[in-house]
Formats: sequence, structure tokens, C-alpha cells
Amino acid sequence: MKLSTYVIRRILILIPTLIGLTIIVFLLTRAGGTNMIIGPYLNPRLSAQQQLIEKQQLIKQFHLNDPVWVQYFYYMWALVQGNWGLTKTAIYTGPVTTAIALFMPNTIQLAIVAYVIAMFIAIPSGTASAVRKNSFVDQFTRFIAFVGISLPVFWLAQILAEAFATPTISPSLNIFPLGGTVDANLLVGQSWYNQYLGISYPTHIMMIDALIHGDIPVFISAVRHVILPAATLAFTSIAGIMRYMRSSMMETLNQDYVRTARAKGVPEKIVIKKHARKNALIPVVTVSGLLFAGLLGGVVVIEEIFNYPGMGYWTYWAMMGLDSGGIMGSTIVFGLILVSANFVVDILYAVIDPRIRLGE
Amino acid sequence: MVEEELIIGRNLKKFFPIKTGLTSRSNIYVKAVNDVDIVIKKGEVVGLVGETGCGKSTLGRLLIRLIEPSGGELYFSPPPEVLNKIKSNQKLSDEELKNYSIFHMHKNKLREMRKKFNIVFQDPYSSLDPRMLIKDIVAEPLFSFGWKKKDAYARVQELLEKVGLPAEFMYRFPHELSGGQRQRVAIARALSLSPEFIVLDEPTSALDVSVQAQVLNLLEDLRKEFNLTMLFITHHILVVRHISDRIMVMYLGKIVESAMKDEIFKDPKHPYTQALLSSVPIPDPRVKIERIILEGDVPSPINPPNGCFFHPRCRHAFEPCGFTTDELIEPLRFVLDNKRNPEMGNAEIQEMNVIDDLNMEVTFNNPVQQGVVESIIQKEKEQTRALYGIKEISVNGNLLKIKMHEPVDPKLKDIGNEHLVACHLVNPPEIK
Amino acid sequence: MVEKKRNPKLESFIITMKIFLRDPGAVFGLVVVMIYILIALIDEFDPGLIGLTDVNSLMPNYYNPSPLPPSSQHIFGTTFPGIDLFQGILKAIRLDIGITFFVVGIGAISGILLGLVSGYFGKWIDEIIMRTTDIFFSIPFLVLAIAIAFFMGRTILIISFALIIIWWPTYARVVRGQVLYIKELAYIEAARASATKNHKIIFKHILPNTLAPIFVQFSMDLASVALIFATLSFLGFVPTLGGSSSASSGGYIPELGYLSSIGYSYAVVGDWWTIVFPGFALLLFALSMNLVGDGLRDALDPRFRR
Repeated sequence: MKLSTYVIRRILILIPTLIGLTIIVFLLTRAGGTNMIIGPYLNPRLSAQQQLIEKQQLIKQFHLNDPVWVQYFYYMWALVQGNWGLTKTAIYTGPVTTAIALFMPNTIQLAIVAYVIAMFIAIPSGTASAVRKNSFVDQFTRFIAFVGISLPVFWLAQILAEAFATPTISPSLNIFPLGGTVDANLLVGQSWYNQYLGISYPTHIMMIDALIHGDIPVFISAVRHVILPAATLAFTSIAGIMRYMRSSMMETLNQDYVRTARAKGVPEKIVIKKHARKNALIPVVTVSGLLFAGLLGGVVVIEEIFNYPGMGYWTYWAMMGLDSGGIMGSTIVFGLILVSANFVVDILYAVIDPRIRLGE
Repeated sequence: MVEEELIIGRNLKKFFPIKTGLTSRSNIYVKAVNDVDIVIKKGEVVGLVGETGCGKSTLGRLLIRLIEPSGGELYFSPPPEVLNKIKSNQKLSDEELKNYSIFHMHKNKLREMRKKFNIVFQDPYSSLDPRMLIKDIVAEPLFSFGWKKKDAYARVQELLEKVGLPAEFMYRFPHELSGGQRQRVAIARALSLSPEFIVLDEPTSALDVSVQAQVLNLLEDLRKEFNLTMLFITHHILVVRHISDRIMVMYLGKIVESAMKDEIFKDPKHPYTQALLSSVPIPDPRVKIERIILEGDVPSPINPPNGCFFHPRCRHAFEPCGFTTDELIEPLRFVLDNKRNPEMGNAEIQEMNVIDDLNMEVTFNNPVQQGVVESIIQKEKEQTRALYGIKEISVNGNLLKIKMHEPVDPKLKDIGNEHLVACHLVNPPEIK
Repeated sequence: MVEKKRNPKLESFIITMKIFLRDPGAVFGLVVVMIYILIALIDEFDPGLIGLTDVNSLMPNYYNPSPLPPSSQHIFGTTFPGIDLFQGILKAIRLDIGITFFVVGIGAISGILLGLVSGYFGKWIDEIIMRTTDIFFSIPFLVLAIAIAFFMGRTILIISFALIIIWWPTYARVVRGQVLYIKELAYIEAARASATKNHKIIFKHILPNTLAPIFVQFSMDLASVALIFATLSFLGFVPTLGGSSSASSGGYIPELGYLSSIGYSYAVVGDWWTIVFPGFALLLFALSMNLVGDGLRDALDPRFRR
């Protein structure tokens, strides 16, 4: 099968998946009942009588008396048009799409840092345990991997917050402040920062914007704010990436070209670095993206504990405030991230390994 | 031997679709079994010989409907009046098809029929469920037909004895047995319902040579004891030399020759059979045989050659065998070269243009003579057999037009003495 | 008949156990898991045996609400409001273990059945089931669980349902992959040649041969589900228990994630024990379950048996 054919096939599979995703979210919102859908739109200051009238209007406006599939059609139409409804939470009230634009950049920043940390730890340790199979290093990384998948995320976050961000326990260690993405005092009067919305320009990602404007103190403050949540998020995916790197590396080390290199007398260090690791990395990098996207749900807990204003933080407050718009919006966004990660990984994999295409 | 037909297959076909495009539907098929007629008589052992991938295993599976056919009819021991109709190529009524054609039978009736035939597979390691005890493996067909446990296990013990295994093997797992022992278990399972017909799909090729002989002897004994009809599939003609009565040779999904064993070894007619036999060592220093080495690879069963499927590799292929213009391109470049044949003068091939399977045009840089080209083709024919496919040529200045002979599909024809061959050498068609 | 009757199934089991017991991690895991199960069973049937009274409530003590450090009286200390952590954890194990086994059990059974059907029959059935799993895999586990529990309610049944919905596709995929492989093996063809019926082929030949990876998956999932369940409670999806309304238990339901969440505001001001012990109890269970799964993987691998 040609690559283009494969890509088209894969896109065709994507469509039912995306429709399925919206159906699930749609059915869930409908399962919650009428009040959950129209709740955010009701004006609490109105009298009971007026509220009843307003309720009737909203039911009409949302077509809640129509058959379910008609409702789904209207729902999809609104989604496509970018009309994702309202969110009313303790941290933000307004259109869902605006909330996403507000919180998403922070989560992207968190995810990038976490991914870098995860790869920096997982790749060398995975390589080491593959090269020295059953050695102490191998056993130790194996144990760490087990702990990694067994650790409650909320607990790790709590412990880290307690250890590094609590003045009473360890004043000297209090280097990673809790809450926010940056020390707001540093930004007073900065033209590239909107104090009211808490957004920086042009990318909305604080670390990058600070670098663009050459503001090193702000950059350092941003790093200090993101490092703890990022480390927690990274830890959850390290185990998987490490084990994957280990098996990929072991497979590569058994390849003929690696044996040939050894037979030629190439030093072991260079064999591993130049011949084996490069090739072992390709599948790991592709798959780790997917692994990571799957664990991204963890930000709901992590951002809540570290008071880091990202998508997870918003989801948490939507949950606490019985805000259906927020839950719906964030579920779709997280779904889209995972679906696209899956798609990209599949395509990359097909490019790397043509056998996949034949298998389909 | 009673001359009674047990199995009659007509136009058997099995095509496997290949997924290529966007949709899951496709019109590209591997033609594993391509329009095969087959008759197996009661009590007979038929050896089915062919190279890997020629469709012999698929044919074996079709004969017991282990895979769904793509076409054709299969009859198992039909009553005389139906048999006559089949033999005289009369159309059977729907009712008769439903009752007697294995391919049209109702599910329940087919289930009943399964008592009468079974199969032994090539790989004794994957053909026994690793999590079942031998007694349950052998008894599986019995349980399918509602045998009671006690009776079934008594039968299993009896069967194990028949295939030469001690009774305590009943309580073993397959992984505790050797390859030969496993194959004996598989044979016991196939025999458990006393079937009339057994397909043996390369039952010895996964075994050590010493064990092969034992298993072959066992099959020989069992055959005599139970008057079994067997289809013995193998890629190695020597394996079936001893055991079989008749041998069929298969090539690219078709049976190309079928004859009694002695006949085929003495007087093979089809060039492919001749090639197969020439590779068999004969333990007699006085016999000198010329080894025929087949050139080229087996063509793809997805897109088999025109006419006779064997013609691209055949040493005797001639006019009607189905040469096409594609096959002519290389040979023409070779023989119409003025370095090889100086009579071409200063004419060199400039362009070759294939119009269709049977017509093509060759353009030269200088004019050529029709007589010269004709004589070269005549001269080179014996060496380059594709030139036989040329029916007529006409030269017009620089342009050479070539027309090919129409391909004729060779039919499997009886040449007497129950010897069937599908080859134009034996049954030459009229060359138009 | 045969003189000496062996019991090969028992022998095979003994071999499996021998390989399993060779792995110290797996043995450690198994012992810990056994202890947890034992505690859960005692909680359920005779809580008095380990000195517990009401297993449905964390028993707040409003006279002395602020957290106390570990002492001889409260070996794990207390958390707000005056809850003894040791007793709380013992009680919480019942709910966490119970829900986890329930969810993974039901999820595995439905996933296995669908995976068998999908792999064996193929064609459009396979297409539908696999596309459905795609859809469920398109949302991160935790987010989907939150959404389901959020919209459908916070009863223990709904939360279990949410987790089952998330978990069945994993099994469906694992089993389908196995079935596709086994289906092509000659012994399945042999069974069909012997007129064995479809359901018998599925349940006698295919299912038993898919069980090894399912067991491994099962034990690893017991760990993951326990973690996600606790995480949901931590986030505030504290399940209400049937029978005891939140009023009678003072709103304090024995659950490890929840225990951890009420301690958080005290931990950040220095009362470390309020979060360390409940979380560690959960970590220990998940780690043990994963170790058991890893041991099983080796023990059930046919390469180690020949």
C-alpha cells in the first residue's frame, strides 16, 4: 500500500472516531438532565416565576424537546461553528472557547517541560538497562518503573508540594512556589502581559514570551513555577517510555548491522551511541508522544494540587462548580489531543516501518 | 479394487482477495485453486504433488470444505443416478445440489458429513491444542457427535494402540511428545470417527527423515486395515511414490497431469512433471537421466500467464501455449541486434510499442527487410522459445508489426489408460 | 484401563507456581495483596476482629479535631477531624479493594467476550467493536471517568460503571489480538474439520489459550483501577455508600484517596503524616499488584516451561 493511501485510510478511520467522541460527550451532557445543560445560562437574580419562563425559552433554544438525534445535530452544528457554550466557575466565567484559549497555553507549557524531563530521564536509563541487562542498573530502573506506574499521582504531587513548597517544613527548599505560572509582581507594567486576563503575548506561553522579550527574571520565575507539576507529570510517563526504550534498544543491539559494527572493532561506546541508540530512538520518540498524551489527564489532579492555571485546573473547578460547559469543553479538548497524537504517531510509524502499511 | 467414485470435484475454485486500495473490496485475487476438476475413487490413495504455493493445500482443504469455496461443485459418494448426471455433465436440480453437493449443503447436513472425512496437518506442533490432554484431543471429533465420555475414551485408547502409542499417553500434554508421536496423535484424531476419506497435508515434511518412514508405514498399514481413501499432499514426489496409487501434479492452481503411479514415473507427459521427476535421484547407476533445471521463478498466482501457465518456463513451449507481447520484448532486443545477427545491417531498435497482448510494433532507426527478420526469427526460435509465439510479421520501412498466436488454454484430457494431461504437446490444438 | 493416572493439569499448575515463586518481587507482591484481601474480608464480615466498629464511617472526633502526630495511641496519627488514620486505612481498604475487583472483573468479562466475538467472527462485527474501542481510547482515562461521574451522578454504582466503561476496551483489544493469532493455528482448523461447533471452539480452544496475557493484564489493571478510583475520590467524587447516608457518617467515607485529600491542607503546614500513610497504603497495593502481574507474565510464558 502506498503511503498516501495509508494516510487517507487513516483519516477515514479518524472521522468515525471523532464523531464517536462527540457522541459520547453529547450523550453524557444529555444524561445529566435539563438543568445541567441550561444551568449556566439561568440568571439567579430573577424571581422564581421569571426563571420558569426563562427556562422554557432555554429549553426551546437548545431544542431539548426534540428527538435525541436532532439534538445531536444541533449540538454538532454549534460545536463546528465554535459555539461551545458557557462556563461558570470560581476561576473564570465566560465562553468555553475563551476559557480554552486562556488555560490551554499553560498546559502546553507544562506538557512540554514534562515531556522534556521525562525523555531526559527515560532515554538514558532505558539505554543503560538494555546495555547492561540484569545488572544493578537494570534492576534499579525496573524497580523505579514499577514504582512509577504504582504511584498515585495525587500523592506524589502532595509529597512534592509538601517537601519543596512548604515554608514550615523546609525553608531552604522553598524554591518552587505554589500557585500561578509566574510571580505576578515581576510583570507589573509589562506591555506584553495582560494583567486582567493573565495572558502574555504573543504566544500566550509564559516561558517562550519571556524569552522573546528577553526578560530573564520572568523566565526563571516561570521555570520555578512549572518545574514541580511538570516533574510530577513526567514521572507518570517515565516508566512506560523507559521500558519501551529498553526493549527497543535490546532489539537494535541484536541487529546484524550492530554486530557487524562490533565485529569491525568499533568501540562499544560508539556502537551504542552512534549505531544502536539512534535507531532505537525512532520508535520510542513516536510512541512516547502517544503514551504521554494518554497520561495527560493527570493534569486535572496535578494542576489542582499545585494551583497551576491550566486546562486541568479549569476542569477541576468546573467539576466543583457543577459547570457542565467546562467539563464538556475540556473533555473534547483532551480527546482531540489524544486523537491527533494517535494519528500523528500512526503516520510517523508507517513512514518509519513500511510493514505497518502492509499489515492493514 | 472397486472402480467407484468417492469424490468428484467440478470447476473447483478458491480465490483469495488481496487488499490494496482504499476500500476493503478488491478485484485482485490470488487464484490458489483455479478451475480444477478432480475425481478420487474409493479406496485409492492419491498423491498430490506440486511446489510450495501451487495451491495444493488449498485444494486439500476445499475437498473437505474446511475453507469456503469461490466456485465449483463437490460431491461426496453421490448415488448412482446423480453420479450419472454429473458424469454426463447434465445440470443438477437445486434440490439435488442441496442434497449432494458439499458446497451447497445445509449447515447441519454438512456437519453430519464431517464424520466421513478428516484431515492431518503438516505441523504437528500447531495442530494440537497445547492446553488439552491427548485423550481430549483425540476424542474431540467423537464429542462433536455426542459420544459419551466413557465410550469416547475407550475408543481413544483403541485408536492410540492402532497408531502405535501406549495408552498412558492419554494423560499427557502435547508438549510432552515428540514430533512423530504428535503426528500419530493427529492421525488418531483424524481416524476417530472411522472416516472414509482423509486429507494428509504434508504429514511428514515437518518430521525427521527416520520418523518420516515410520509415519509413512503407519499410514500404509492403516490404509489397508480401514480401506481408507486418502489424498496425500506433498511437495516431494518421492514421498508418495511408495504409498499412492495415483499421482496428480499441480502447478499454479491447476492440475497439469494425473496418472497411475507407475505410468507417471515411467512415462511423464507434461514437461513440468518431467522436470519434477528429473530432480529425483534414482538409486541405480545404470539409469542416466538428464536433469531438467527449471528456469525462472514460479509466476505469481495473482496474475498467471496466458494460455498454459507453465509456458514461460517450458522447454517445449510452442505456438498455442500463450506467449504474449510482454514476453517478446527482451528476446527481440536480444535477437534483432546487429551485433548478434549482422544481417540486420545498420538497423537498430529504437522503440518498442506494445499495443495489446497479441500485437506490437517495433521501430528501427533504418529500414529493415521482412525476409531478414523472418529468417532471424526462424533461426533463433529453438533457443528463444518466445519467438514461437509470433504468428506473422509485416515490415513497412522502419516499422515492424508483429502479431502473436491466440493463446489456447490446455484442457486436462484423458490420453488413455487413465492418464490425464493438460499440455498442447500431447493434445495439439489446431493452429489457426 | 490405565494403571497410573497422572493429574497433568495439577502438574502444570505446580510448574507455574514454581516459576512464580522463584521471583522474590512477585512473592512479596502476592503476600501483600493477600493481606489486603484479608483485611477487606474481615472488614466486610467481622470488623470487630481487628477492633473496628463502624466500617462505613471514618468516625470523626470533633472534641479533638486537629491532626495529632503518630503516637502509641494512634500509630499513624490522626487527621482532621480527629480521625484515627490507622483505623481509617484499615476500613478504607474494604471499599478500595472491593470496587477495584468488581470493576476489573466486570470490565474484563465484558471485554473478553467482545474481544472473542470481534476476533473470531471478524468482518463488520469486528469493525464495529474495534471502532468503539477507538472512541473510548480517544479520551484520557481520568478525564472520561470524571465526565461520566460528573454527568451521571456520584453513587458508588455510577462510579464503578464509569470505570468499567473505561476498562473493557483494553481487554477487548488484548483478547482480539490473541484470537486473531490463535484462530490461524492448525488446531483450530482441526477442530473445525472435526465438526466442533463455534461456541465450543471459542470457549474450549481459543479462550483458554488467551488467558495468560489476560491474567497479566488483569493484575496490572487491579493496580491502575485502584489508583484511578482513589484519584476520583481525591478530586471530590467521594462515593456515597448505600445504607449510610453522608449525614450518619459525617460525610467522611473510608476511602484512601479521600483520606489523603482531607489531610492535604494540614500537610502543607507540616503535618506530613496526614497524607503519607493513606497514599503509601495505596502505593503498596498498586506496587504489589504490578509485581504479581510481572511474575505471572514470566510464569505463564510458555518459553519458560519447555
